[in-house]
Amino acid sequence: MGLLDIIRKLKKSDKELRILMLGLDNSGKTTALKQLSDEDPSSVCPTQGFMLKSIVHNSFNLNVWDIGGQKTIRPYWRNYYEGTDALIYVVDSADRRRMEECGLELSLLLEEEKLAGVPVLVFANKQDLLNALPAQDIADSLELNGIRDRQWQIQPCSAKTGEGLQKGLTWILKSIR
Amino acid sequence: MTLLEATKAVQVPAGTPAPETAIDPTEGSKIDQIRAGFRINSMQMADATPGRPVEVMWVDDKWDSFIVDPSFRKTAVITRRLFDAAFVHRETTFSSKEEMHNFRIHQRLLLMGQEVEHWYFEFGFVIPNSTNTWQNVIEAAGPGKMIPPEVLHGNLCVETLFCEGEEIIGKATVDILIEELQ
Ligand SMILES: Nc1nc2c(ncn2[C@@H]2O[C@H](COP(=O)(O)OP(=O)(O)O)[C@@H](O)[C@H]2O)c(=O)[nH]1
Ligand SMILES: [Mg+2]
Repeated sequence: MGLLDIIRKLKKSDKELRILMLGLDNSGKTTALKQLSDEDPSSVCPTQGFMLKSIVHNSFNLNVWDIGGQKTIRPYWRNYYEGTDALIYVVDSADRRRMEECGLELSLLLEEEKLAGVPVLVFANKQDLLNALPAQDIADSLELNGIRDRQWQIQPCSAKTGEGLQKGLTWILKSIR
Repeated sequence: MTLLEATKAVQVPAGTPAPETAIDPTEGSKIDQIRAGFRINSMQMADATPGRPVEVMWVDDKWDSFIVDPSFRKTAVITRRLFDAAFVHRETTFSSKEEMHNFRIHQRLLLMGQEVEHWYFEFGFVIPNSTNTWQNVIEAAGPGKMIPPEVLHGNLCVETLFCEGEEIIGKATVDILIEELQ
């Protein structure tokens, strides 16, 4: 199942679905988006702005925004919150050095008024790497169990192989209903 | 307009006019600055039929003079298979030095100068010194509803207008030729 299947499953009353993908740079956001669209994921270069994928089908619109995660770009994330239906937060599970920074950025996002109540899916990405932390450890490190004000889910995945991505999308569809 | 409204994509009904394409030389300096710092890095078209890898059928990354030369046009030679694709993927990558707040793109499909389709997207904010990509995936009309390639060949063009608010930054025009009919 890819993004095209998602848009086919939208219920009639959803005119538009806006998904926002955030996470530190190099976490695999763009790779995941390409993988979900059957595009060659080997050709990504760091996103110096946004990548917006919009799919139009039966007058429904699916818009997935992937915003660059470099430190210099993060202050601009806030310009893209409004109207978000679901947030995907992508984590490089092998980047132990920046796990704390990764948790801090997520906790800031969860405090944002414009994202209040928005379901959040955490992709524990790069599970194909030997030194990847298991999803449970990442959930602990990001203190996901403390989230009370919205639905959340952590999904281990590999944007490189595609494993786990579809399960994540399925959860998103369920959570926005 | 709220940011929420601004971020909603609308498929504009046929007949909705796009902004005037003439560039007014007396316009203020802000839009001139935006223009000076704006460039298209590439445009591409691909077959995005579900269930198989996206196949790029046309890509052009030479757009340097499109802002300064209003008559700038490109020609895309495309295999007719693209017209059989269930979904067509159009991709535009652009850079902006300036921050923008009401960035939008109008894309029109013209057949013999007549508008046949029109898409409009409100991006809203553009990060200063950023490079951004818009991938627009559109479902084809379906068998029986498609205009035959023989009619499209040489008569079809894709026009992309880049705007900040009501003001036009630049226009990119691509004439479509069909490889097998050349
Ligand atoms: N091994 C492995 N590498 C990945 C995976 N996902 C992304 N990468 C690599 O990580 C780097 C950053 O990916 P990118 O998608 O650009 O990250 P972004 O900055 O979050 O958009 C690239 O070299 C990708 O090939 C994954 O699941 N496994
Ligand atoms: Mg990226």
